Amino acid sequence: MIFLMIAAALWVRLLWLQVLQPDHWVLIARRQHVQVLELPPLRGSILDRNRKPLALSLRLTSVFADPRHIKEAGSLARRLSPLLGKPETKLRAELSRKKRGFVWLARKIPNQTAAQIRSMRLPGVHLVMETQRFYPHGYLAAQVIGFSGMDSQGLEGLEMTCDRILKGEPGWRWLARDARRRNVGAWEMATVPPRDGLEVVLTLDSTIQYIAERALEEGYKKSRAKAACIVVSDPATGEILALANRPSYDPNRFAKVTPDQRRNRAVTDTFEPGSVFKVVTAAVALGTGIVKPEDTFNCENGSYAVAGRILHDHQPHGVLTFREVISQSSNIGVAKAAMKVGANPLYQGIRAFGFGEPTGVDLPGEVGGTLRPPSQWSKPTITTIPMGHEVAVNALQLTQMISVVANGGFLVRPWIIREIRDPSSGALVKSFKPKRVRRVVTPETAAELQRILAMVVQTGTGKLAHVDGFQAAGKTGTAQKLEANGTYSHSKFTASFIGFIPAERPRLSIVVVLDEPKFPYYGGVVAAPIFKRTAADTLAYLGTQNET
Amino acid sequence: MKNFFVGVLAATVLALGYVQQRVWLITLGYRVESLSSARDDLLDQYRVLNYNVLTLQSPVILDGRLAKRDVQLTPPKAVEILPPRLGTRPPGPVLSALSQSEPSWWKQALQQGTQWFEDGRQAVAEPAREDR
Repeated sequence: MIFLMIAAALWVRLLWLQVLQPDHWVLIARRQHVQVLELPPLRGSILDRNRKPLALSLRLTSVFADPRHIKEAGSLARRLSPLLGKPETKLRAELSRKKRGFVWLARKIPNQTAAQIRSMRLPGVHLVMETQRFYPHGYLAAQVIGFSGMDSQGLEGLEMTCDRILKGEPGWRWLARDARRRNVGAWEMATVPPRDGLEVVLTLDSTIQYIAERALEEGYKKSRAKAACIVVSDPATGEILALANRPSYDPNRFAKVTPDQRRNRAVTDTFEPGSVFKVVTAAVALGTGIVKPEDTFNCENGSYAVAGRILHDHQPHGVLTFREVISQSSNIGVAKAAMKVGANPLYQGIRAFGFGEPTGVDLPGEVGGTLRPPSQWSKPTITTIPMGHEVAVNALQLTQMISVVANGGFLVRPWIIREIRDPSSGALVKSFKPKRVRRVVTPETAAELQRILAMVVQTGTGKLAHVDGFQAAGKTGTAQKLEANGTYSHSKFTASFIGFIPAERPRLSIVVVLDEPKFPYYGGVVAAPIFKRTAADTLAYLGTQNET
Repeated sequence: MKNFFVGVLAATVLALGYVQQRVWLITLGYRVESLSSARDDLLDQYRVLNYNVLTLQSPVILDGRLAKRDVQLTPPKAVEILPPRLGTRPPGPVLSALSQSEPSWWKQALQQGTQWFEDGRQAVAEPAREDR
């Protein structure tokens, strides 16, 4: 009878657990055995135009601990300390926090170290995979590419602007675990695979980038400048082939980088361009037809009083043709030409070259510069703007401007993102094309300017930009910087060289800007050699046929 | 009674079959997880190796390594006497003995022959700072 009662009780309990109230216990069991595992996506790569990676992600192991399951924190810390390279005392303190169920011991450790820790089978110590961003070329195009942080979030440069494209979407799956925490899998349950980030293909060429960086580094060190930048582009399409800044940094070690090193000066910094701006004045003067290349200007032997101030040339000139005014970089000659053109046509012409507004490049932080309308000009402004003062531009705007001359008169928007691709299938998601904004000068005017700028390199101020076997064209610039009190400095200069090569059929537009170089601080002395080296090596790389 | 036992047997076989299937499924689960983990590890290793190749091919790294080596190559000369500190070892006994006195024709011939064998060591010179 007792046996029957016990059996009946057991049956009732069994019925209760298995039939009437199964969900409660199933839920508890599930909590213990089944969990959702997030599958992180791999951040998309950033590639150069030849599909060479400039930034890519790798999966590395991180180590965490559950201190509640650790009995001897001291001995565990002693064993882990040499492997993780952390002080034993610090590790012991971390492992002794019994109230916490989770502490990071080390993040993104080398795979060999992870394998060693895994083989030790330490209780309460677990490994998890995380992605880490790597930049195989180190400092190459660092300010353009930027970097992403510990949690794979873009923090600077294209990593930041293309973050949504690059980061992808995480997936998840159910995972069953046995009593020893071994994964069994839960194949009957739903799985959502992660969608890896898309690849961003740039217009940059890593070899040209390296050539430009090397030349810039040499010139930057030699001139002992405060900062420097270089932009190399294809004048016909506006594609940026290289963009480098100094000082620079290695994005693999972004934590130690100062804001000064991070800045992409070619787009974020504006400066008074000085004599390189005479190219715009010349284009407007010739384009309006008011000035002819053969027109002569009296350059007053280097000193000319106008609009309540005295203009000076860097060396005295007498009567020069307009061609010579540009090639010899006469401030007085160019001011007289501008006065002949008039304020409004000059302003309209400068605007047509894209000054006073951002170029629209896909890089963060671009500024549009400063260009005041004639209504806000003071009396001497008509003489200062033509020689590149009272205007502020960035290096990319100068690249855009010199490309107009090089490509026969079209304003072409500079661009840096060429394609977006799906890494899993290789399919093209989106491609970008060159954008001609407008015609700025006629082909005849552009051809005349090309001849004048070739003269600058042959016989004028830019002789150091000459490249053996090719005819280069360009313009030098040495602008005094403004002091805090509003006066022009006599010790701080912005030296620059803008040009293109080969002069007849230009393939490259190059802009070099050096901020506060030490003596000799002239653009023709410090910036032109950087142009020369970059142009020579790049043309050799591109295999351009020798012209002469 | 017989039917009852047959029923119990059939139920037992079915239950055992079910359990066996579950055990088999779990065993397969372990195997799939282990293979999946191995595949992920190999893919990760592949990516890391690929990254290493990329790094080694980078012009920045190559240029840095060449600069470190400071090789300073110069065109070879027909005859070059290296300074003693660059020589790997003193002249061999044959050459030492021969250099003591004015050589006769047969000694000169022998000297030329041994010189031919010893030329190799004179050509050995290491760069100033090897990048290892």
